[in-house]
Amino acid sequence: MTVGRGPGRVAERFAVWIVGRDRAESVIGDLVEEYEGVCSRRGQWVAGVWFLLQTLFVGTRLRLGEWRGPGWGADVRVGVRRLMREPGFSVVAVLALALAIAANGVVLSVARTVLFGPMPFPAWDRLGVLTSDHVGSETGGFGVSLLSMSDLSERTRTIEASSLYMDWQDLTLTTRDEAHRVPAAFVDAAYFDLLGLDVSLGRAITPEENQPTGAQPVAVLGHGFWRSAFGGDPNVVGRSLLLNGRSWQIIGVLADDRGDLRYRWGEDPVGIFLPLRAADALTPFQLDTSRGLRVLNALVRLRPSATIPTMQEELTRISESLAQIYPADHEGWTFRIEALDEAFYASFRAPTRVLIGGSIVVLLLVIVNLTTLVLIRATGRSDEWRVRRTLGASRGVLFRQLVTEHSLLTLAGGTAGILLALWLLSLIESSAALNLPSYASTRLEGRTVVASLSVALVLGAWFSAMTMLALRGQSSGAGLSGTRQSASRTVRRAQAGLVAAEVALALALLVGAGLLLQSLRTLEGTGYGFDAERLLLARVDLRGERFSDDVLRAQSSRLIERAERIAGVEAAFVWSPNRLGHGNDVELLTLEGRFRDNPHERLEASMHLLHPGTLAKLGVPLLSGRDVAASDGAGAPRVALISQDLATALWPGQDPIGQRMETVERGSPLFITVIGVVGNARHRTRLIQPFGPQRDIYYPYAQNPLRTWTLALRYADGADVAAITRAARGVIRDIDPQLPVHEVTTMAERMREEESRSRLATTLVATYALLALALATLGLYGVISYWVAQRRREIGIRLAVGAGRGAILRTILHGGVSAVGFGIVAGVVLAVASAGAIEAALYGTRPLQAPVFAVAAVTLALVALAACVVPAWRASRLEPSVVLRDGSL
Amino acid sequence: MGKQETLGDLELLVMLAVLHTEPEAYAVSIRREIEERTGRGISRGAVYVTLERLEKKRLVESGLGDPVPERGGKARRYYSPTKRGLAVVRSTHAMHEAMVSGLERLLERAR
Repeated sequence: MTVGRGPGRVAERFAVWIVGRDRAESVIGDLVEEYEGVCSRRGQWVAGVWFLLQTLFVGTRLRLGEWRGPGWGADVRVGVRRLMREPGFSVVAVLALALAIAANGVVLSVARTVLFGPMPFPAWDRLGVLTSDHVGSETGGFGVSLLSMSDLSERTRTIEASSLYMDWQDLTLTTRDEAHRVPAAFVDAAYFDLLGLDVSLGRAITPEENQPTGAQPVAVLGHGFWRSAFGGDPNVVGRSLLLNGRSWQIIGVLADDRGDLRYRWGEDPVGIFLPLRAADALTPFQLDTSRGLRVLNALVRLRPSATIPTMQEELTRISESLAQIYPADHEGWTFRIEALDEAFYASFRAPTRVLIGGSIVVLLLVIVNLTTLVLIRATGRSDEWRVRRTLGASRGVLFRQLVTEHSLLTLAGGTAGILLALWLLSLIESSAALNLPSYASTRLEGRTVVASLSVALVLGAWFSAMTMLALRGQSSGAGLSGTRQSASRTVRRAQAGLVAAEVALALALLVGAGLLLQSLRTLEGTGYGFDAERLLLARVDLRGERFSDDVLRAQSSRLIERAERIAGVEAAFVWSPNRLGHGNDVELLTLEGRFRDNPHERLEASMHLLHPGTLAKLGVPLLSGRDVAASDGAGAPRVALISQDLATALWPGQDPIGQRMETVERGSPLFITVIGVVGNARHRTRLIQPFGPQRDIYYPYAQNPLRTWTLALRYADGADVAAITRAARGVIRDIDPQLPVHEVTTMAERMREEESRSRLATTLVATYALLALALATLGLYGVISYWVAQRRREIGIRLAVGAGRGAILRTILHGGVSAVGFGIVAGVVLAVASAGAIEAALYGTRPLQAPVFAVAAVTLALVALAACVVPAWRASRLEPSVVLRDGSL
Repeated sequence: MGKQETLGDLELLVMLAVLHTEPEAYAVSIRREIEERTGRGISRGAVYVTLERLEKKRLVESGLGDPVPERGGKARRYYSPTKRGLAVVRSTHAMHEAMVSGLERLLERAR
C-alpha cells in the first residue's frame, strides 16, 4: 500500500482548530491513520466526509469533557446575564425559533404517518386495495363481486392472500326500546389474519361461519364499541344482540380498532363485525347471484416477489380473459390494485408536501434572520472582545462562552418550540380537522424531539461561529487602539445576499399562500347547484324485515307530510339513498340496446330517488318535461329525470324526453324512459369531483324504495333550529319509535366540515407567508440599520463637506433596493419552480397565475422598501456636528 | 468497609485493552481491541476522554512515539498502565469475581 496524502491540509487545519493544538499530534494522527483505511475501502470522498465527521465528534467529546467543572457553570451564568441584558433580541430569537421548530415538529409528525407509513398491520407494505374500474370512468374505485374475486383467485400468481369485506352498510341495533345505528362490517375469516387483528375476548369469525349456507348469526364487537356500548363488560361473550330485528350472538371482542379501515377521526368506529355471507340476509345484496354485483371491498397481500406494477399487469391480463368468458359482467371492467398506504393517504399527501416546504422555508428564514441579528450584535461587542483578548483571554475561552450563550438561546427556543408543537398537535387531534384514519398517529416522536434539539444546538454553534468570524474580521490587526471600521465589502455583500434570500423565500411562500387562498375561494364559490341555505338534515335508517317496499313507500310520504306541518318549516322532503350533497352512488347507463356489448358507451351517473315535488323544494330547476308524479308507482313503466350534462352526453342536440336508456338492475337489463331534464347540481362530494360534468339520474322513490333516508327540512329565516330539530325527531319517532336517527346537522355545518381540511392547509401556509413577510421585513430593517450605524462617521463627513440629504438617502437605499430586487427575481423563479408541488393541493386553480404573482411581488416590494426607507431616512437626517463629535471612535 | 478505588465499565474496558495491546497501546489499537473482543462498538471520543481521565487519575501514563509516515508524519501517543493502575484493575477484577461466583447455577435455573 502506498502512503496516501491524507485528507488534505485544509481538513487537517480544521481538525486542529476543532480538537485543539495540544491534542493535535496524537488525535489527528490517529484519525489520519484510520482515514487511509477508509480511503482504500470506500474512496476519497466518503473518507473525507468520514474524517470531518469524526473530527467533529471526537472534538466535541473531548471539549465537552474539558468543559465539565466550574468553568461551565460560570459560562452559563455569564450567558444568561448577557441575554437578559438584551431582552429584545433574546425574546425575538426565542420566539422565532420556537415558531419555526414548532411548525416543523407538527408538520413532520403528521407527515411521518401520511408520507412514510408505517401502518399498524403486519407486512403492511405488501397490502393492497383491489377495486374495479370501468372504461372511461371518472370516479373509479368500484368494488369487486364475490364471484369475480373467486375467478381472480383461481388465476392469479401475485396474490398471497385476500379478503373480501363490506363496511359501508350500517345496522340498526335495538336495545330495550331504543334503536341505534351502528356502523358494521361484513368480513370473511381472512380479514382478521390479513390485518393481524387479535381478539381480547372470545374468538374471531371462522371460515365455517362464512359458508353461504350456514352464515351463522355470530358477531364480533369492535373494541371502541364494546367499551362505549357495553362499558367494557368482560362477560359480554355469549350474549345476543338484536340487529335489524334479528338475534345475533356475540362470540368475541377485538383487542383494538385497527380493524376499521374506513373510520376517520370524529366518526363512529365500526362497532360490529359479522360474517360476510350474513350480508345476504341483512343487506339488499345476494352476493353470489351475479358477477356484476360489485359491492364488496377487497384487500390483498401481494407475494413478496410481486410489486404493484407487476400485479397490475397480471390483473389487466386476467380482466381481459374474464371479459371474454363473461362478457355481460366483465366487458369494460378492469381490476385495479393500489398500495394500502397510497389508497388511504393519497389525498393527504399533496397538502402535506406543501406544508413541509412551507415550514422548512420558515425555518430557513428564521436562521437567516437570526444570523443577521447575531452579526449586528457582534459589532456591538467588538470593544469588549478587544479588551478581553488584550487581557489574555484565549480565543478558545471566548468561543466557549459564545457557544454557551447561543446554545442557551437556541435550546430555549427549541424547548419552547417542542412544547408549542405538543399543544398544536393536541389541538389538531381533538379538532378532527385532518380527518385522518383512526390508527394514524400524529404523536410527537422522540426522534423529532431529538432532531429539533440537535438543530437548536447546531444553530447555537453556527451563531457562535458567525460571531467569532465577525469579531475576528473587525479586530484583525487592531488592538485597543484600533478604530471602528466600516463593515468590509464581503460582509456587506454577505448580508445583502442573506436579505435577498429572505425576500426570495418570503415571496415564494406568499405566492403559495395566494394560490391556496384563491383555490379556497373557488371552492367556496362553487355552489351545489341547488339551494343549500337553511337546510336541516337528519339521516334515518330503516333496516329489518318489517320495512317492506310498501311500508317504505307509505312511511316516507307520511314523514314528509308530517314534517311539513312543523312550525317554522317551509318545505320537507326525503332524499335517498345518499347524503345530500355527498352522494356517490354511481350507476352505469347507455342508450337503449347498447349496454351489453358497448362498454365504451357506458356513462357514469349518480343515482337519486325522488318523491313528487322534491326537486322544486330542493331548488333544482326543471328545464323540460315533467316532474316525478304519484302515478309513477310500483307497477308503472320505469321512468327517470336526468341532469342537463347527462342529457347532452346521451343525446347531443336532441330532445331526450321520451327516449329510453338502459342499465343493469340486480343482474338483468333495465329500460328507463326519460320524463324530464333538470339543471346540473353537485350531488357528489365537491372535493372529489367539483368541476367535471355533473351527470345525475333521478328515479321515482316509489319505483325503487331504498332504506336509507335523509329527512331534509327547509326552515324559515330566523326559525328556531333547535326546536325544529326536536320536533323532527318527534315526527320520526311517531312514524316508528325504533328508527335510529343520526347525523342531525345543517347543510352549512356539513359544508364547513367538508372544507375544513383544505382550509387548515391554507390557513397554515398563509400563516407561514405572513411570518415570512414579517421576518424578511425585520431582517431587512436590521441590516439597513446596521449599515447606517456602521457608516455614521462616513455619512457625517459627507454631510459636513456638503453632500445633499437626498444623495445620502439614495446611497443607503441603493444597497437595500438592489437586494430586494434580486430577492424578488429569485423568489419568482423559486415560486415557478415549486409550482408543480403545490398544483396537486389546488382546486380549480392553475399554479401559474400572473395576478397572484404580481400581488405577492408588489406587496413584498412595498413592505421591504418601507423597511429600508425608515433607517435610510434617519441616516439622511443625521446632524454632522453631532455625529463627528460623539462618533469619535 | 474501607473505600477502595475501582473502575467504571468503560474505564475497565479501556484499561484491559491497554494491558492486552501493550506496548502498542494507542487510541486506535485500544478501540480495535475492545471492538474485536466484545463485539461492541465504542466511539472514538469516548476512548480519548477515558484515556485522559485514566491518565489524570494516574492509572496510565503516556508518551509520544516516533513520527509515522502513514499518519502524515505525526507521532502516536502510547499508553501503559502504572503500578497503581494495575492494582486498581486487580481489585476491580476481584470484586467482579466475587459477585460472579455461583452465577452459572442461577442462570441455569432461569433457563
